[in-house]
Amino acid sequence: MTEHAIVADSLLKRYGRVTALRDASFAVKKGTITGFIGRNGAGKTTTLKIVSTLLDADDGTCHVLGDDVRRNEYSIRGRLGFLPDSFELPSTLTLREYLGIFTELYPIARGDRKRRIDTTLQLTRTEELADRRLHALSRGEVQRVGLARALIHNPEVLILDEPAAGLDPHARVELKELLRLLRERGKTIFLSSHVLADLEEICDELVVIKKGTVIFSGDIAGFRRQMRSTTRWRLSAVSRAISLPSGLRGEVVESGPTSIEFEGDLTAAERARWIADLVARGIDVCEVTPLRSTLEQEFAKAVEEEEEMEAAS
Amino acid sequence: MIAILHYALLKGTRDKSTVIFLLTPITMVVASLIGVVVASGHPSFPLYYSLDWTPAQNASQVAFISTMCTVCFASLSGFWMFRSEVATRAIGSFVLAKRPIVIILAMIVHSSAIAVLSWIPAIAAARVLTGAAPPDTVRLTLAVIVISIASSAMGAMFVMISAQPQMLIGAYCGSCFFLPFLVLESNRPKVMMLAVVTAVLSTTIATFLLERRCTT
Repeated sequence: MTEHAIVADSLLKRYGRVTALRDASFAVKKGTITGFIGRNGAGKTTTLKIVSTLLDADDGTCHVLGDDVRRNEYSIRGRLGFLPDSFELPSTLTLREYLGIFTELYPIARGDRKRRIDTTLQLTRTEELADRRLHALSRGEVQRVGLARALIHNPEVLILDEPAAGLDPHARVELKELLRLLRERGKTIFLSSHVLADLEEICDELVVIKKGTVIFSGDIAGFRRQMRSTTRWRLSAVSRAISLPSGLRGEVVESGPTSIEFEGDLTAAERARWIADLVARGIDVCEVTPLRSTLEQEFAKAVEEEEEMEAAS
Repeated sequence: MIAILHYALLKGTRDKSTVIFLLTPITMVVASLIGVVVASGHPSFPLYYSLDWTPAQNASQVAFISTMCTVCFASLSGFWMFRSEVATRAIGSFVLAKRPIVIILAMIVHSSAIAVLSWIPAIAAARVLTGAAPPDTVRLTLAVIVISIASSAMGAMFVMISAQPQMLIGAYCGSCFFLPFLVLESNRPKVMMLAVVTAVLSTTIATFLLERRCTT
């Protein structure tokens, strides 16, 4: 329990006749960035709200930093920062005033408030917005302001619901940098996102949810293993066609006049033998590149497999 | 609670709603008195609602108008303070930082304080313009305080039910319910009791709904 910041066990949540979560179990390790992926309506926001103590599950348990979300919600709230998927800011206040209110709300000692606001502004790169009123902000600025608010009380756990939604590429890079920095500072970050390429870059762990059921919880390598993901290898020569030696486990998925793409789990020895064989036959090999499947492809595969299993049953 | 009051004060000052709530009762008192005098065609000072009434009776009527206005605007102010936050669910960030009961109590304290602060200049204007003090001002002040708290609580409850502007009608009607009884001095203790019960009930319901509102 102590090495996990969040432990959810058999969560069930119904909205009327619709079951949003069923038997959802997962764990988020302390000091990691854990991505939460699933299609729209899969139950991500419901789960994040339960973890954030804003929603009660109908059944199952959820512990955040060792505290039960039902019994100790007020203790958890002070140690947790939550960025919802959509929110409004008071347009008549400046960012500094807005954060100032939250330093009073949490409550942060009077003498520390200014320093805390300055640190948060710096961390979220919102210094230039500090004395501007919170209206006519871009989507990226709104997200950064939301993050500043979620971070103002220096929480141990940060729950982010679609923080990258609507951000331009530059803002996404900044967000990723910020999340890495927060992880370095020991924060636990649990975030949902549809931008799987970004998650793949920054996440240590992954929770995959489909139709309210968690179908995977663990590290990304484990997800690839579960998906029996194989690496695709691209071999190219300068002028001659590349042939495939016998006895290799896998299949050719694409071949051109001087290149070949082969999908299969090749050991280092098998790769070396293949290349040596090609060179021995005078084939001028100039490129051997592993092309790993993206998280997006793996996720699509996972969803497809689940659907096939459902259809079969 | 101080933080939420600070937020409400900042927000109310910037969007000018606090000024409107503060000035409405005195504006109503002054405008209605001037209106009656101009319409009657007998301009004289002190001002009056009816020339057949004594200054004390006129002052009493003016006090009723300002009390009505104050009580109604207390519910309006209770409804208004966090309306946009409730409508956009931004209230969730406050709920994460403070217990719902603290937020609701802050809403009520803020609205009732504005109501009472708006009532004082209105009564002072009544005293000056009618040339007589409204009768039993101390007890009336106490009644205004209690009923303003009840009205503010109702405003907070109605905004938690729904942040749609039409819900204001409910808050407005609820607060108006106390007024006819308030006129009859013999009924004031009963009205005060009813106001206290309403305040407690509305606060409880508003707190429950606030916790629920963040979760849907």
